[in-house]
Amino acid sequence: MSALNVLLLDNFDSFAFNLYQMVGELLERRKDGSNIKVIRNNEWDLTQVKQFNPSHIIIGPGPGSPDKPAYFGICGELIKELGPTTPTLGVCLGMQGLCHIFGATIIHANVPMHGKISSIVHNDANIFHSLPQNVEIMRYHSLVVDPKTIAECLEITSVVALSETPAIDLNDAVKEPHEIMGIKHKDFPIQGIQFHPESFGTEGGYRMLANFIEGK
Amino acid sequence: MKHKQSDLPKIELPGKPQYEKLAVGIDFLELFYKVEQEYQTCFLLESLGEEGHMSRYSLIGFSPEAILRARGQELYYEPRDASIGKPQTFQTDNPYFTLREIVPTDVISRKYAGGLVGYLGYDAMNYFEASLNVHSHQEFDGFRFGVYKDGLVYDKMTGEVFYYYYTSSRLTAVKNLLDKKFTMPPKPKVTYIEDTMNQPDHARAVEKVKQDIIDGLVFQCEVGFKSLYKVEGSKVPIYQRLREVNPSPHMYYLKFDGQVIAGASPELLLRLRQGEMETFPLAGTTIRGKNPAEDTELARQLLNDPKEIAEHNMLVDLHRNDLGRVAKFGTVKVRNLMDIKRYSHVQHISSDIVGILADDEDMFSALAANFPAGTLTGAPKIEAMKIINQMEGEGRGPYGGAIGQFCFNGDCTFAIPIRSLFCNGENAYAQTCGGNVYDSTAEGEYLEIQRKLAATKKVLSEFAK
Repeated sequence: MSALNVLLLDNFDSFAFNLYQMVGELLERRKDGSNIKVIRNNEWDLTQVKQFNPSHIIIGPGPGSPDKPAYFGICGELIKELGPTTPTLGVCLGMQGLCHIFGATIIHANVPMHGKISSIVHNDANIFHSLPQNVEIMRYHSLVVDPKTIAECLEITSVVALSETPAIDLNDAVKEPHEIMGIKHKDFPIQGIQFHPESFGTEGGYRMLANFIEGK
Repeated sequence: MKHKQSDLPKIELPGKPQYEKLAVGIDFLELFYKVEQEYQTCFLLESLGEEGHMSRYSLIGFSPEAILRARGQELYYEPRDASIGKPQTFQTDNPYFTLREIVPTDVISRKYAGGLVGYLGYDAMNYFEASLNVHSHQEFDGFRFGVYKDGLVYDKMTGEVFYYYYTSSRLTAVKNLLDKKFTMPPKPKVTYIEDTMNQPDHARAVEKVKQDIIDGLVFQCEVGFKSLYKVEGSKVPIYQRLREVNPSPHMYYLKFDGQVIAGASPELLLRLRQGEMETFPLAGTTIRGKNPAEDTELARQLLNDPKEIAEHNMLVDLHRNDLGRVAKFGTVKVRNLMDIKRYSHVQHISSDIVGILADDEDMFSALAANFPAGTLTGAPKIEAMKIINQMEGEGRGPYGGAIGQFCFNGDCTFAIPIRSLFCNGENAYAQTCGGNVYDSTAEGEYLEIQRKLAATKKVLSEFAK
């Protein structure tokens, strides 16, 4: 195993360093000199990011909407330029940004979910590899990806569990008014999650982030 | 012109302080009041009430060797007298971090060893976050500290009073004070002037924040206002009543000439001791019951209220984040989640979050990373502060900043200056804010502000005639 070089984009957020801590802890356990670097979304240009040569990119949470450059900085460009080759994880605003880059529209949620916990159904693969169904996750968002506008190249990996319909077919989720909690690109190593794996209120957050780092 | 590093008034100290036992069983508070009458600049820090275990020791400092204060990019060094040095002004990119070059952090002592005592204004955030331009207060500095190289320590467990010093002892002066007769200064006259925001304006602010929440800019934003007062006479009787009416874990009386901050804060901002950082976010408020059963009933309602829990969840993650900026990997832990803490007029939900400071950080970066308290801004912090700056037209001053000390041994303790009276001469204000979230109602937030102000208002109204 060679040392990893994880780059975390901080979209002027107040939870980015929770991601930094958890990923940093996982990397430190590898004892191979792997490290994580946090930059603000307007701190470097694409050339500087390429020079840094990240093994993984995490597009962190943040305020605002990814369709406004003031709130998303360089992140959109990074997804387009490096996403096809570099494993990339978008969290919250980051996931909305991934979807937006591939054409989705960001809309207001019915009700803002700030500091609220939900259970999710997931694909048991990728970052959800070997996680039980119905794990509880912490949500901090009032905007959502409009499911109807999700591009063909993306697939849904997780939605909010519904007590009335316990069996949800993720392949059909696009057609239903589900609250999307996870997506992945069909061809590129790009994944996104709407919830916060770094929150104290999320179950299995370390495993999700470990899955991402290990290339799942 | 920019200063040369060699010009800075570096504080020189021997490796450890001296301690002398002064007395046992004396009235430490009265001793402070005597100190207050004698010296233009002094402080008392103490910890009272059910959470009084926050500090075993009460501290007095008087006539510090110098004042270090900052406004904008200017750092002012104001020595006590000419024998120490002459006043100097330094132009610096960051007056706060310039303190690193001035203040020793390596004194060896297991006991209290002196340091900088004072406040940071809420606008000190401008030193930590270049993307913000927080309003400054016209009368209060970005930060103001006394350099205290001697002082008095009262051990609440044993009733002993110690005097510590480094090179020059002022024990004789202290002993003379101890023998002096004390009379309480006459009650000041307190006149309420106005609130800086009326209820309709407050309601409009809450609505605006709710729209910002719907639009995804913030989850929570703490908007509030000041109550302005005129205080004629000594502030000591006010502090005396604050301690009686609202005994709190962080009690302080800071005097810098005409400026006095007297307060009873329930909330710690950050404590750093031997590399361990602690914060105790308080959020979620209800009233006290008439008896223990009613207290429990109210606590039960509070802990089952989804709005209050959501608000607290956010703050737990925010505090973890802020500690995580300067902590060693894997050391940020939620030690206690959502306990109830009881104060004289309110009950709060409280959590206990800790982390171990990383090797390349120090008390200055530790405080900066956790400043200002998330409970006084909302989240995400930077975006919330932009909104506050817009909605509250004028600077908060020390309100919502930090009050406490940087110790010469590298430890620091800062409380959040809330439930306090901020006086500059006869001008005074108290301030409060409410945590606006999506579920907030304007009336509910206004009521919460009134509740939080209750103890301070009760005390001030006693001096109204």
